[in-house]
Amino acid sequence: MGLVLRLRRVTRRRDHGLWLAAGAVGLSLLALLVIVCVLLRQAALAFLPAPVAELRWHSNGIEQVLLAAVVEQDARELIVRASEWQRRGTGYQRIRRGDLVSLTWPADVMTWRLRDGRELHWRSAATSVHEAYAALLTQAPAGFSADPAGQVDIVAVNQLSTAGVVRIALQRAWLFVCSGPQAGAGVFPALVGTVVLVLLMSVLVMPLGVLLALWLHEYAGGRRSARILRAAMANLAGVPAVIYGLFGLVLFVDGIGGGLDALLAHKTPQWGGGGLLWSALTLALLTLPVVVVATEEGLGRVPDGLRQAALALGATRAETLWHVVLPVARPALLTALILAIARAAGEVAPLMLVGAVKYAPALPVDAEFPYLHLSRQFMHLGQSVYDLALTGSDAPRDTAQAYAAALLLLVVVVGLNAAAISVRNRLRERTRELST
Amino acid sequence: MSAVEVMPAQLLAGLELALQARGLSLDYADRRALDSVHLQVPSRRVTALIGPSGCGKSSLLRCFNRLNDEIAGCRVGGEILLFGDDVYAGAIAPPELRRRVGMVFQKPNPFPQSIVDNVAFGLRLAGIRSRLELDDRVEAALRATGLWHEVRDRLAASALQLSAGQQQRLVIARALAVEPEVLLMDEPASMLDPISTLRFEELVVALRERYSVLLVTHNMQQAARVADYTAFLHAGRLLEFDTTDHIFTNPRLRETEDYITGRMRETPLR
Repeated sequence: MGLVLRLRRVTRRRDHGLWLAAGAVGLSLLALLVIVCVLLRQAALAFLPAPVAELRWHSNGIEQVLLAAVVEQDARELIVRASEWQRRGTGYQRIRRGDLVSLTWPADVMTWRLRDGRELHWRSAATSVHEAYAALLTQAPAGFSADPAGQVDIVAVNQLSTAGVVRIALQRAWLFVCSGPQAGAGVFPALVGTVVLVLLMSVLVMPLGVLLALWLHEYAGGRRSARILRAAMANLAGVPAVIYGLFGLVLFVDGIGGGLDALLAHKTPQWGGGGLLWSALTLALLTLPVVVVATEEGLGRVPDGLRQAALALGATRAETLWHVVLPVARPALLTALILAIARAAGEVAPLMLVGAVKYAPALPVDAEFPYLHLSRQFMHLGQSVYDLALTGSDAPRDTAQAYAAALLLLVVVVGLNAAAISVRNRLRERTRELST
Repeated sequence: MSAVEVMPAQLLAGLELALQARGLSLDYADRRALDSVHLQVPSRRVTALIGPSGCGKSSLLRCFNRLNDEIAGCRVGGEILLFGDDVYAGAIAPPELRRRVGMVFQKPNPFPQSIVDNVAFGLRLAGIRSRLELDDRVEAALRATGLWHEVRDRLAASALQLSAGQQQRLVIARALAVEPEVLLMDEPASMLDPISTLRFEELVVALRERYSVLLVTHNMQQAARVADYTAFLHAGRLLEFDTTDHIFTNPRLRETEDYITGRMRETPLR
């Protein structure tokens, strides 16, 4: 009742601006919600254990029996995925509905998803994984091999409770995040690559961007060179990301990297190929306009009285900037960093040209000196999404994993941003009284 | 207009001069703010600078510590002497000059740092690193402004938590900590409540024991209460300079009398 009255009061005000604004807010919230829901739903498909059917059908007059998960179906045919005894991606079959004799869901089916992404199905009434494993060995065709250490993952898939399904899904999701591509479609190297790349990009872009903004705001004033630089920044912000990739390829990889290799007389190119440093530099260029604009705005909000106070106490301009202006502008610097991270973490196209690869043999960080390997190629979550969705050997199943990788990328971006935002809010509290 | 017409002869005879402006003119990018100003500020006295808004009081004040240098397109003509040294001739670098000529602004502008860091700011810039010396001089500056007993228990607290009156005394302490010879004050009490203003005025009177003070104010009563000498500035020119008693009781010029008695309308600058 109260709500109706309030609604009526709002409508009577005839504030169209309010309605439009509320509509816009609602629409964007809805869009966000839909994106997250789609990602969650599709990603869940990659990890939820699929029930396994026993199919009987006629093929050329012979009755066939097969244990398989139904991947897709329509009115005419089914696509199923049966056990892959030797290689991943070989279990897919197409069965016409007309040939189908029966489709049942037997309770005694065991399923084992191996660490390399293969799935095995067999029938066994065993109650322990040891017995189930023993049953598997008797049923498996010749040439089958599997690591017995993984047998803890064997489940009676058609008898799982809801809690069991969730537990298995979480287990698989965890494995997906923490393992490499050798095991199915694990994205751990891509996760590490993305985070290291974004951190390195931040370290490179912040000093340069802040110095540029300082020069623009504190020194250049209305000079012509400053106007030209501002216009250049505004235009750079509009250049498509892939152009930055081409630019990085020409300038960093071929130009500087190739030159470095020639200078150091490397037999095989070390710097003259795509690498972490070149990618970070390319992203730094890409995010430079964002950093400069946000920082300049923050410098503009520093009260002039503070600058004058410092100068009047005998500080030089540089001392004023270092001791007074920059500390007060710190929240704005973090805003700039947040915007740069948001822009850079989601960027894929330029990276494909300057260092991100489908499969990198080693992580860009490890325990070996110098710990951070700037010239190494690396994997990136954005690239993983692209590979899993379009170019994987196991496309129908990996599409779901592409959504999972996308969701993970979203989590990484939100996580990095949340960290920066919490630091900024803590700083803001310290300088809040200043704005009054 | 020469100095002779502006002030009575022999007015400052025998007094040491802290600041002198000789034929000082100041041009901003689009207009002239000061026109051949002759002003003499005696040492260890309080000199008030009065005049209608926009007459160039603040501009004049900022010539004495070269803060106008920071404004693009600003040109200064004539000369300024600080105890006989030509300020604009290059004998004194601006940071050094500003340590000798402190300034207090209209709006209290403490840094968003702790109370003690605010007062120690100028000292650290001057290269003083010794913890002991910093503490001593911070305490001395805070005592000089009467703030010590109010903040001694919370020196590490943010300066922004102080009241406006305390903040203004804090920035005065900050200026005093580097032991300047002259203190410029640009309408320092205009944002303060009556009680804080009273305390501030007592402070200014106490400061004249050691410092030369040049005080810009819009408050006639304040000028009458604290200043030994008063200068009247109008439309970029110094019209009259005399003892405060003389200016307020028996001004020589009609303009001065009109302004003091409130009959003058605020005149825009040419």
